[in-house]
Amino acid sequence: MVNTQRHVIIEGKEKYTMEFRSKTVFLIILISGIILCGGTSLPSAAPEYPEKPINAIIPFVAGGAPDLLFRPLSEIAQKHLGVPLVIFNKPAGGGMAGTQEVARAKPDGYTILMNFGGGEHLVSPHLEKVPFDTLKDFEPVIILSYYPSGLFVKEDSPWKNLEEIIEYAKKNPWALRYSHPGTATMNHLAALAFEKIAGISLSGIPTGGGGPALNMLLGGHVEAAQIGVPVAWPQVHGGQIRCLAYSLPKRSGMYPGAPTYVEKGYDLRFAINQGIAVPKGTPKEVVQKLHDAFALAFKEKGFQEIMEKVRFSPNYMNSEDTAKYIREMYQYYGDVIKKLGVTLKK
Amino acid sequence: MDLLTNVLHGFSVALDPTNLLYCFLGVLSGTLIGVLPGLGPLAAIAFLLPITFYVPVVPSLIMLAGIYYGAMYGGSTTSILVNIPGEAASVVTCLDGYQMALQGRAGPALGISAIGSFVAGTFGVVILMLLAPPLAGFALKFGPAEFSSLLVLALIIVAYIGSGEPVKAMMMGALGLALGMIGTDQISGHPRFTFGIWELVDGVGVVTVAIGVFGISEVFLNVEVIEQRHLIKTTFKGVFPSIQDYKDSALPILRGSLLGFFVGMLPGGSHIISSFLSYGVEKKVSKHPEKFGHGAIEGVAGPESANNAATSAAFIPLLSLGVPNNAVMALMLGAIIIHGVVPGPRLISDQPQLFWGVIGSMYIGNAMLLALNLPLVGLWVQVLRVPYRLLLPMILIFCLVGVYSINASLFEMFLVIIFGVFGYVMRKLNYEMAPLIMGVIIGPMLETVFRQALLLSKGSFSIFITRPISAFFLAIAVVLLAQTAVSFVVKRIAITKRQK
Repeated sequence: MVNTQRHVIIEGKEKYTMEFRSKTVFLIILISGIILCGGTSLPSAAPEYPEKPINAIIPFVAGGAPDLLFRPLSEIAQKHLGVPLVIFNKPAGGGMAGTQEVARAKPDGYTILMNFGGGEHLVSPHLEKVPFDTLKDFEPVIILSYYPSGLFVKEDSPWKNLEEIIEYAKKNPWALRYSHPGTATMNHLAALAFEKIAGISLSGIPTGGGGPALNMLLGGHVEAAQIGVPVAWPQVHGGQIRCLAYSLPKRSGMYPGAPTYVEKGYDLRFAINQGIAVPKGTPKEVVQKLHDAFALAFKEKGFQEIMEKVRFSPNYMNSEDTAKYIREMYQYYGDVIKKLGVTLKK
Repeated sequence: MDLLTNVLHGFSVALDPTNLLYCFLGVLSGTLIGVLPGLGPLAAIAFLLPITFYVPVVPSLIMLAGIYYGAMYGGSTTSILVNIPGEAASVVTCLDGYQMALQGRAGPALGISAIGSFVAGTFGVVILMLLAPPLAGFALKFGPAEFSSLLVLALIIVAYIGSGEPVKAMMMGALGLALGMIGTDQISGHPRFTFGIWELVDGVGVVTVAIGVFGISEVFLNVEVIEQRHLIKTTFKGVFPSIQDYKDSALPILRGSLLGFFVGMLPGGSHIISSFLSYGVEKKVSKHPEKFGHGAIEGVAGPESANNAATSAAFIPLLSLGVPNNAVMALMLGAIIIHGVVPGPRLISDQPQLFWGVIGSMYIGNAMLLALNLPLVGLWVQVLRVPYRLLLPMILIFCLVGVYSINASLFEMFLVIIFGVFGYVMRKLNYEMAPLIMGVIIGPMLETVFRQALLLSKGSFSIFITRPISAFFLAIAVVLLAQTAVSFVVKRIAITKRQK
């Protein structure tokens, strides 16, 4: 680069010299060098786990349904762990980015995945190429709860129940538009599976989250919405929207007045799980310690109350049961997708 | 009469010593978060959310709200003093705020941004109080088609933001749009333009780009002109805005408040867009647009007012319908639900102490922020007295730590240096950085809503003109474009005539 001595001002507009000075180039190299050095950490002896803050990744937007559960849980669990749990929301790609980050993290227990067992882990791999392997890349720690997916319409909508909307959809294929949180999410699969089971065709609009999907329904831009029931329930309670059906095998006391798909004769049983996992290869004792801390937090009265308020169904499983359950569910959704012939292509 | 009792009730709730304390804590931490580059109100509120589980719902919400609007006050500080946007919404404040600081007018810039924020914040609260339910209904009518058209209009305004050649501004805007495409396709969920670098799946963060091209490149540029900078007489005689400053700022603050409020209440509406729009509007209506980018106080007053009005307006859908219109509001919704309060259309009647209490606290919080920020102006301008050999390394560290605080990602620190170098080179070549940031912000939003609109219309473009609000925005966009084209042609003809 050219090194000139004089500072040039052209028409009082230019504030800086047009030349690039060696001083600046040197500075740039220096900073890059310092950061590079920071990238290589020194090897250290393995002390008692945990000895530093644990990074927890929620592969969802801040303020999404998982936050309501995992933020209070972390707050309680860090008392038992003795170190802070630092939560990062990494929502990109419908959970792909955050999940991938944990799959690739060092298996030392300092990077954990929250909201393990959602659609991005159990559904997406059957429908598209994903940058991780749900069964091989993770060591499941615990499952805490689940909630169902539901089909909602506005209170003033012409369809009062599931039968009516199916009837309309049969007569008018593709006419009904529904918003959903995102492509290949559990809610999206629930809608796609429902279309297959009921023999109808709907037009789905991905929105990037339960909140935006709900907004679209309330604004009258779509006729229906397929979203997590807890996300929509305040609006049902407020008398603005109606739940036509939700995806549990039996009715739950948490969602009074709404029917299930199963009782209407459509075998749609989907639960969106909230679990925790660590990268494969994490030492057994570390998994155990994490499990114990979260299990203790789960049992606390304060946390049970929070689950009730946000309308998530408690569903505790230990590490072995979680691993088994995740394997079964992975298989189950794979079968459902294959059996119904669900694809992302229309 | 009813309203008066409600307002009085709200104040009595807000003036309760406990609530007053939480309000103060909220606005204080909000200001600090705003001042620190990188960390934004969303991260701060997410971080503090668990604490509010142990506090009743009214003080919780008062505190979280305080953080949100408090951050808008603080965000302008570093923009003005050292050209680092403290918060994404303050990017546009760098343009004229920093120029004012270079001219020794950091005090008035900081002062007017605090006063503008106060006026707009209070204005927003008044409208929120009077018109929340009907406005919320209107805001929901704003769907993907309407949003696309609004963003198209915003893109056209990009061309006005630059103070140099419009062509260069558009080139930077286009580059910004391209950068915004990096990351995951919001509709199909596929990663794009990531070149196998998985950190890029999340996209290139706006704050990272902004800190790089404004803050870091500023350091690089200043390393070269240290001797020259010492010659600039930075006088502090006018720490506060002069009468003329108030006169110049009055209308921008008013327009900024209205515009900010409107954009702020829309679903997915963002205070960042509102500040850019306000800047564009001010430049457009100004009698001396050539002053913009060279220390026009209108360019600080308008956008700073807009982003504050937008924060007040963002509460409308949440408090009157129970639907959050952005991530910060979603966190607030969480804070409300955790306390067993059901947000929704009945919130105002079921929980009057919550609705009116929060509104009351927003009046008080805005007053607190003004009282907090005006005396700080005198202190902040002292920062400029710090010799550059000490200030520049500090800015650099500030920027790097700020970027690291967002995602704790080393990759992003590299990215910010790359953008710093890029900004350094491009600014030497007289390209402006604000249109770039605008492109990065608008690109992904526009793409998503545009494709959603076409999905809704099943592929028909008529949705953009058959829906009245959308057609209205497009019409303004066309008028603006036509006007620019005509004035361009007229100018060219004049030049050719003169040459003959």
